[in-house]
Amino acid sequence: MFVRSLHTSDFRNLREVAYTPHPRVNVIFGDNGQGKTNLIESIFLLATQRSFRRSKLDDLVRFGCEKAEVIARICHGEVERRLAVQILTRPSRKIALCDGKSARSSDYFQGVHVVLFAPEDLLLPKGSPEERRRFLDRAIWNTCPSYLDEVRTYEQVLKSRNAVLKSMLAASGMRRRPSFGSDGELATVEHSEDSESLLSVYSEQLAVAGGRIIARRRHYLQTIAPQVEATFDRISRSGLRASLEYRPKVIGRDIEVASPSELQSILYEQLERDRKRDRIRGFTHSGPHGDDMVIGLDGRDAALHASQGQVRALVLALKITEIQHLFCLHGDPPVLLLDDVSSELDAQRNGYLFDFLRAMPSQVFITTTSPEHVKLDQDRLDVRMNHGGLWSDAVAS
Amino acid sequence: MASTSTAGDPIQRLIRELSKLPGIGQKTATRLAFFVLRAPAEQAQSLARALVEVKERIRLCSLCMNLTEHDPCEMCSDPARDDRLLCVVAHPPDLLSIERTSSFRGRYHVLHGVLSPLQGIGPDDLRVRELIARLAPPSPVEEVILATSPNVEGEATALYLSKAVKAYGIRVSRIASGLPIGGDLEYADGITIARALEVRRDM
Repeated sequence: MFVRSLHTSDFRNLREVAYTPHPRVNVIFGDNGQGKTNLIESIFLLATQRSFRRSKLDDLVRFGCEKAEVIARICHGEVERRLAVQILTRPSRKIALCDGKSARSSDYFQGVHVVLFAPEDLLLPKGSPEERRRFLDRAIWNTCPSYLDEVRTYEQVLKSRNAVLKSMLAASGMRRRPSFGSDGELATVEHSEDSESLLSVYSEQLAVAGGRIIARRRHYLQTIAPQVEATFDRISRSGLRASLEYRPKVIGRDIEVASPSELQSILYEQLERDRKRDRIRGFTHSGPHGDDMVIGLDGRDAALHASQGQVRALVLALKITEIQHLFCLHGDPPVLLLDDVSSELDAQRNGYLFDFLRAMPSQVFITTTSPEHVKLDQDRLDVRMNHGGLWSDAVAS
Repeated sequence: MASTSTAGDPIQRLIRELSKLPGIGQKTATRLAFFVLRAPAEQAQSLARALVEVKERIRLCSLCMNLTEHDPCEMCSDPARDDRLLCVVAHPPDLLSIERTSSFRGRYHVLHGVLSPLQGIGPDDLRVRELIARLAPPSPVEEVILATSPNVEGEATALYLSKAVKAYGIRVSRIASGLPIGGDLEYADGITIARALEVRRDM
């Protein structure tokens, strides 16, 4: 896939941008705060219908405007489609159009694959489990669009189960003030049979939806792990072994080998065991919403033991593998968005990254303050971002 | 905006009442009000009577909880229907959909909603107790068909009811979900196809 043309209006600080990128390498340069990342974000928004910054919908609209719009012509092989996302304020909502018509998300996302590599990704091994789950879920979604529905279903069931737990907590508080027995446990709080069986219903539903997600995540990590190891070895040349492992928060049993249906029953049993604790806390403890992935270095957790340089090499290996895996899977290179990454990498790792980009037939968008540091010479188009407007160096547009 | 009408103006009153209806905005309400105004008097009276009667005469059937004029309702009192089959639906329109197919000749039970803890709707807010009462022995019911929608809330409701019904040793079944008849596989959404594959059957 590649972006043939991009048009934004009132998207963040980009008032009106008409951009015809190169099918291969695009370098967007300029000083900080001019809107380079916003341009990357607009492509990301088109591809995923969401922002990669954690901002409200309204924040995407240029201050004082009522509507932001991003339109692009996207090519997959011979087919060209026109994707558009509109963000409206008062009330905030988002409209996604494919060839001018509203499309089911499965149709809209068909063949649209974008991988973002941003400085925040370099914090992944040492960051919060939530960020690693986000990385994992996004990577899986790129390989399989229906994963999004599975995640949404899981989230809805999780919210429902938590609501049941909260109402039980409130009911027990009304009946009897919580008193702690000598063993430190909440003493004599009875619940009606009704709410107990209601809780079982949501445990069962959560186990089914959660088991699916664990199976997907585990499968993805098992698929890419050997390649991450090999790539890391080539980047770092340290002889250290990189590893990836899915780590469920609570389930103690070895889930590496459990079948999806076994995962569902393992999770169900865990939820049943957690019943008492969940009721006291008023929320669900176990499940993929609390799981993590461990990035390891020679058998030790990289979050604790890896150096800054090793962490960068690990993330680079992870990102490169994600891209290669997508390319193999779809037979079509994904669009790559590199937001000011090379400034965070040293010369050797930058060299590796640019070698990779040269070999990968992807369309690439790179933002940077210093275009001369982008060591890619062929099939390249540079544009300058200045105060939310794009300027080509040869001819001002 | 200057308005010449007063609050007591019958036209304004009608517009205000109509615009309370779901899906009816100020504009449509105005159009409807003037339509009624221009229509023959009988038509307006007939509409008014229908409005009043629907509130006065329609109530819940004491057996199946469907909306009815007569209690028990037509379907509950029809001797040709099979007492052994009981189909549970969430809302009255769901019942009508099944009834239109003429392929189900058992009895019905209407829950008037689905479980939704997020909206504070629990089993006590649905007509579950009435359903259980119909299953307590001696009950002619041999199979309960759970026909709630195949979404998260509908599935949770079905799961909850299946536990309750099984406690009476009565067979429980769930309506199948999958590809629509006459539809194209090409146009079906991913989840539906995945589900259809999951519940495929031998040939």
